[in-house]
Amino acid sequence: MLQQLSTERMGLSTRIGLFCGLMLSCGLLRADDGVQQDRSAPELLPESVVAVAEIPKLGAIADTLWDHPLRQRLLELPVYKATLQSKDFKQFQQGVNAFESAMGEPWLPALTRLTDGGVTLALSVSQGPGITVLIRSSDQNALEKFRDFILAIRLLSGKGKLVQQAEYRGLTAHALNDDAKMVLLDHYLLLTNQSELGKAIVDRYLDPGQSTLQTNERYQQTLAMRNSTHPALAGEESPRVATAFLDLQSLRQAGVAKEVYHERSGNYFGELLLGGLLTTVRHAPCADVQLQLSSSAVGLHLATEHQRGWEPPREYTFGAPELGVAPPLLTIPNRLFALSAHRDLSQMWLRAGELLTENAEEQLAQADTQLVTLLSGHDFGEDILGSFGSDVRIVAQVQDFADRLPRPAIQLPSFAFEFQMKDASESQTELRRIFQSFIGFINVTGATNGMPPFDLGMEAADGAQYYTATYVPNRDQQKNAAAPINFNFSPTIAFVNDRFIVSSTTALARELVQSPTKIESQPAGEETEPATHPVNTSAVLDAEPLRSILQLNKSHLIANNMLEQGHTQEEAAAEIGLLLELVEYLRQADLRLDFNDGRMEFDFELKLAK
Amino acid sequence: MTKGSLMVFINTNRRQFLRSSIGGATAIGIGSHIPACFTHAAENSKRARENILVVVQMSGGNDGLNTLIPFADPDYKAARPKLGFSAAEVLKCTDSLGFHPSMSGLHGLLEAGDLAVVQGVGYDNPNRSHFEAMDIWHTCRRKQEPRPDGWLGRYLDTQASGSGGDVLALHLGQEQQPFAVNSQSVRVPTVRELTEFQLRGQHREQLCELLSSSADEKQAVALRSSTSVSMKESPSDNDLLAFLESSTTAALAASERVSEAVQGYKSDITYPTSELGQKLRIVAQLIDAGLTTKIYYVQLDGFDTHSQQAQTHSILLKQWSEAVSALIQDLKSHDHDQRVCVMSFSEFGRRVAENASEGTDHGAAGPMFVSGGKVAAGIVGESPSLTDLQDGDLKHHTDFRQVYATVLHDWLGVDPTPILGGQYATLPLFKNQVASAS
Amino acid sequence: MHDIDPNWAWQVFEPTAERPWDRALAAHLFRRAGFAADPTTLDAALTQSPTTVIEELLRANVEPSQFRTTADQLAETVLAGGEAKRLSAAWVYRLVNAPSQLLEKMTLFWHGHFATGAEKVTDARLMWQQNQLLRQYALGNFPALVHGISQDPAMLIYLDSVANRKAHPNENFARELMELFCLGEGNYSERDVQELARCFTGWEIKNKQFRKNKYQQDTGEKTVLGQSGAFDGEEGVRCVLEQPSVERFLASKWYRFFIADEPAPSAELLQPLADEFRKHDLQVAPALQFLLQSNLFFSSHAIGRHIKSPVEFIVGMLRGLQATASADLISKGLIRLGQGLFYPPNVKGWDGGRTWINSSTLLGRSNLLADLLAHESTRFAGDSLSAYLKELGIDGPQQAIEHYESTLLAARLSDEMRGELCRAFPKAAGGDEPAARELLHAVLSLPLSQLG
Repeated sequence: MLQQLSTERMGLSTRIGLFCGLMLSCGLLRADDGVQQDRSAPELLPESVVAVAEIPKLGAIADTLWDHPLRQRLLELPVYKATLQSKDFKQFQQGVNAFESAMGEPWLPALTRLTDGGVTLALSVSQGPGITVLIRSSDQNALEKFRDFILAIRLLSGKGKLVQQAEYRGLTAHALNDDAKMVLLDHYLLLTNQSELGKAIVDRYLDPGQSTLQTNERYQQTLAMRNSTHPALAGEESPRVATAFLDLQSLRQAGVAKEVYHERSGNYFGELLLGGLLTTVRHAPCADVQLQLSSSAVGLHLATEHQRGWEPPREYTFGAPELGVAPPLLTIPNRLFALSAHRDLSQMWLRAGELLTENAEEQLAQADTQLVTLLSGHDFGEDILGSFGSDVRIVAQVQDFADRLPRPAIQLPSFAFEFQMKDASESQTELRRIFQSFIGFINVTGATNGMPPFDLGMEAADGAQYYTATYVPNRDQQKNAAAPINFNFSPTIAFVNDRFIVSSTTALARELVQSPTKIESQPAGEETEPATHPVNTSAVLDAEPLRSILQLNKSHLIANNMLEQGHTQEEAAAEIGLLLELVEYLRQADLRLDFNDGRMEFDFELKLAK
Repeated sequence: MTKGSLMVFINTNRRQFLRSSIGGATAIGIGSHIPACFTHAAENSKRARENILVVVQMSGGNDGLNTLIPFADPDYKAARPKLGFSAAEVLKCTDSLGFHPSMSGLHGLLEAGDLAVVQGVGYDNPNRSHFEAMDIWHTCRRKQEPRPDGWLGRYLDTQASGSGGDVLALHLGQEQQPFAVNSQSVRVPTVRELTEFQLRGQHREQLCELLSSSADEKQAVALRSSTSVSMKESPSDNDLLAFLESSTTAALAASERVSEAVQGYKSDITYPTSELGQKLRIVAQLIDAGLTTKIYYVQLDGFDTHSQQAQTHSILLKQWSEAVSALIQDLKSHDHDQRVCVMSFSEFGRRVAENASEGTDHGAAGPMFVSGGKVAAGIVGESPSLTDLQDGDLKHHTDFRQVYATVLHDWLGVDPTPILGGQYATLPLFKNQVASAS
Repeated sequence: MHDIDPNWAWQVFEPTAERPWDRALAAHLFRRAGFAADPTTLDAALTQSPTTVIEELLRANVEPSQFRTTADQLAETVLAGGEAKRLSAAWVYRLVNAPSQLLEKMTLFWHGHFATGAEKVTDARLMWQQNQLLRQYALGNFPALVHGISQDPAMLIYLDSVANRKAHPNENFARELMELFCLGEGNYSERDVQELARCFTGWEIKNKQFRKNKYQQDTGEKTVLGQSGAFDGEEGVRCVLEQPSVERFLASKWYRFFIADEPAPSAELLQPLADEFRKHDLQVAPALQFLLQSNLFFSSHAIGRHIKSPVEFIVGMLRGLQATASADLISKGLIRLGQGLFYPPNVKGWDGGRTWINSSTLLGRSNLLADLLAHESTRFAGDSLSAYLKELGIDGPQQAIEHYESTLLAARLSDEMRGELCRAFPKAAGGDEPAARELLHAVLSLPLSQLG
């Protein structure tokens, strides 16, 4: 995880480098005075643009990140300090210094000044991939300084080779290599890797009234959609720091990201979670993306049109005849993770042939045969999944082993699924029998691998019927505080009215039986659940329980790190300590997927600790 | 010619290089230190004519009765009311026998004269446990006897030369290595992907060059000239070092061949995307690369169809049949089919009567499949009776060791008796039997 | 090859002007009586006599308790996670970091000698217990080790000897005890196997533990290797251990492990080593002292006469360069190279010598090194390789090559080969990390580097 973190940091600096590089590899022109200056970037971009991202206040983002307490704490971390010593970082630092001296002020105010009119990135695919960056500043002088900075760097890296200049309609373009061009248009600095794209923008700048992105129908649709939704980050003023428009239809035609549009998926869980989203993206003409940022949260919002005619063969995600709605998230103490979704699992299983790739489907079909063996002749898709409604709920919880023995050396979270039975009286017997055969099967196969057997039990309590399976510790395991990993599990099923709970532990099953299930009865608090209105899919991950489970397994994480990285105990302990510290900065991650009013909306939000 | 350009030459022209004669190669003036490598190539082209065996293990107990189907036998339909196939459904092989409908690939091989099917293969007192039955097939020994090695492992022991060249046998897959290839003297690698056979690293070219020159040079000063070694003894040469040098040459040659096979392998045959299909494609590439490996071993699991057999069995047979037929056709198009034989087996067949959950339970005798350009095509042996049963299972009339003995004697050219621990009559499975070993 | 004079061979090696006690000889000692030593350890060794250094290596016959706690914790983590295959990574960690190299080397020797495979034993904890037993006696009392192994659950499961009933004595363990563990083939009869098997009746594994089932014990008189009596299992083992073949069998295995893969030594040459072992009541340490301090061990009959096993190759590289790397990566790589720890090929263990080498394993050695050197977790004394070399005052590829020769290689490279290496990797050493790693990779991929 840490390694990942550090690669990501590298990735970021590389990206910053690329961004600078892109800026460097361009040329410059000077427009006549008096041309209109108040036109927005979409009014300059040609209609052929298929994706555009607009960042109105780049300076403000940099400012938020720079001043964020998280950054201050990251600075104190040893790994970060080591990065400061690295060659890459030193080069980056030199670049920043050069930028500052060229602009004549520190980089943050310089960046803010330079981009106070917004930064726009656009992609065109009409003549091969063309990328354009438009930087708009109220301070023309700053743009000129920046242009000179780029030219200077270009001269340095080009070993004295002169920058080519070209005239276009009275403007001077600097061509830094065969493709990249840079032009100054009053308050805009235009950078592009495609001459034709650059010319089209200059044309629109000089001759208003041509067709532009602004007049593009899909762009207008997207704007309308954007203006009608303004998802707010929890409890905060949450400015949109970036927005993007994607012309999905043109992107599909151009063959960008082909794998997204494959009708069939090779990944069952991906299909189950996001099959509905992807099927919509495959049909929708355009999409709106919004990025929000505040000092305590980051949010991503994706919206497209949705039509019910696009759903087949994935009706299992959407529900019929009315759009399906996920049940409320399950709430229990120490909850680590919860997911609720509307999914007709039976339908998905039975229609796997239309949803999954041939390979994945063959594997599923073989699994089906194995399951039937286990399920004493019942068909898993039809009989078992078919006996449930389309409400799927999953929850995971940190287990409390504080005063319980045997205590597993590695403590795993417990997890459970909850379904609504269509016909409780009919299903209950079947499900119970299947559970018993399943445990029997595990006992038989487990015995050949030297695993202890489960003891089956049943009880009625809290108005529920429980069927439990418990590992019986042998004499030398009874007091064991470092017991095998098996002791994390006591598979249990419970029936309460029409609710069916299948849980990895008896304790979790009990908590679920006892916990309130209606959304109104959730404990009131300033931030309980992300879903304020019914949605198709919603999920939440809480950071505090995550931290506690990492803490509980700290010594094993350290040992693991030693084996994975070859570290000494001290080095490993430092790395794991860092991981724990980083988790402390997080509070919660939420995900929501909603289909409503002819629209699909997907939201992901990461909340930081205060 | 410099070493660098020579490596390029070898890289780009390995195939032609291998095929050219010694005379031709010397005529074009190859540098002085190349002969070692070249001799190796020449040696390979000689060994590359030796026969190769590909074993496909169908794990879990394949339902032989629904693989080679006695559709005309009224007892078949009686035993298989739900799972049975009608005469119209099967792919007919003879008037009374046909293949499962999903086996069009193997049916094509049979018609093209490239497939032999041995009926009713098994052994006395059959064991119906997967593990024990598989061990019996792998070792040819019962549980009470010591079983230190497998039958192919014992064959490998007869081939071990200690030459340090290409591996004698390869197991492709993620699973545990099959006991059959366990040998007293030869380590059989389990390979997951082809890249394990290629020299890696960003500076691959430089390294190849260095290693190929190192293998010919007097690289180790102290060991050879004994400047620092001067007691009353001082062996002047180090056989181990010479061995390592020749092995390095062989390894580089293998790496180059495999690299070329990966980059330049052209085939009009489309292998199925199944795991087995991809494994057999690798086998074809390695064979075409001129590797002197004699045994390739692959597995397809999932044949334990106790319930709802129809769909799963159909998928598995399709995967197997398509993969094997793709391999044979591919080998044919590369002129290797005359020296490759593919043998498929399962640890047992299944009971004659289907069970109540539309599946079949562990049984005994079943068919074996041998394919390749040199195979004497057709159905071998009698169809086992569906009424004269042993505990509800087919009786075997051919011992599996007879098939092994045939492959060992007629195909691999060794004496099967010590390997199988007894004398077993061979079967007419090959067209032109190779000269038997002395 | 002419015969070696046993008198000369086993005399204590005294450094001379012709053959001084220098870095090359010290590195040879550490490669064989361990895996490799870094320059500081080598230089420290040169301030003492070879005999003293060997005595110290042998004296470290128990792990320092702090290291032991740390290393055991790793194994416990693996066992708690139920990842049996990862137990070998925990051992790799020990091999790379153990303060007592010879103890670990001998534990590895005994693992090959009393080969037991985790694939068959399946319960990783039993493999771990056996590993601790091997380490406990690695430099200690051989009879105690044999008695321990005779009742070791992993071993008895591996040899299909979990039950041994009076009516059907199981001959498997009795046979392997004589053939593979103590006497060698030809030093016992089939009759001895049957009689010894009767001694072990009633010995069984229940609930993963050894126990004696007195109802299944054959209490009658047996005749084992010429001794008669109503022997039980322990007495059976004693009868075997009293055979003079024991010391000859072990001496020949040690010769191959510590001195030379080939050619096989004459019986006369081995006899003094065997006698020394018996003289000390089959204590391992005195015999090894005798072997390691001998003229033979420091002669050209031994230097460079051994093909490094995969473990020696990888662990030696790491220890010689004070490096650390992912134990997971190494343990998986070792399986591909033919020496998976806890996964010996069969009950005979690893044959060693030339059998380590074929196209696949040679490419595999080079590729595993490439993987390790490309992995971000691989560090040298906690730093990059270029920084490590700089710290040692090594500048330029020529000096780097010399450093690798003196710590890791059994001999110097030819000037021509060095020249080629320098030309191929001119930037190596001098701060360019990728080039430094490439040079190391190239040097260790050479045929000569496979000799230890």
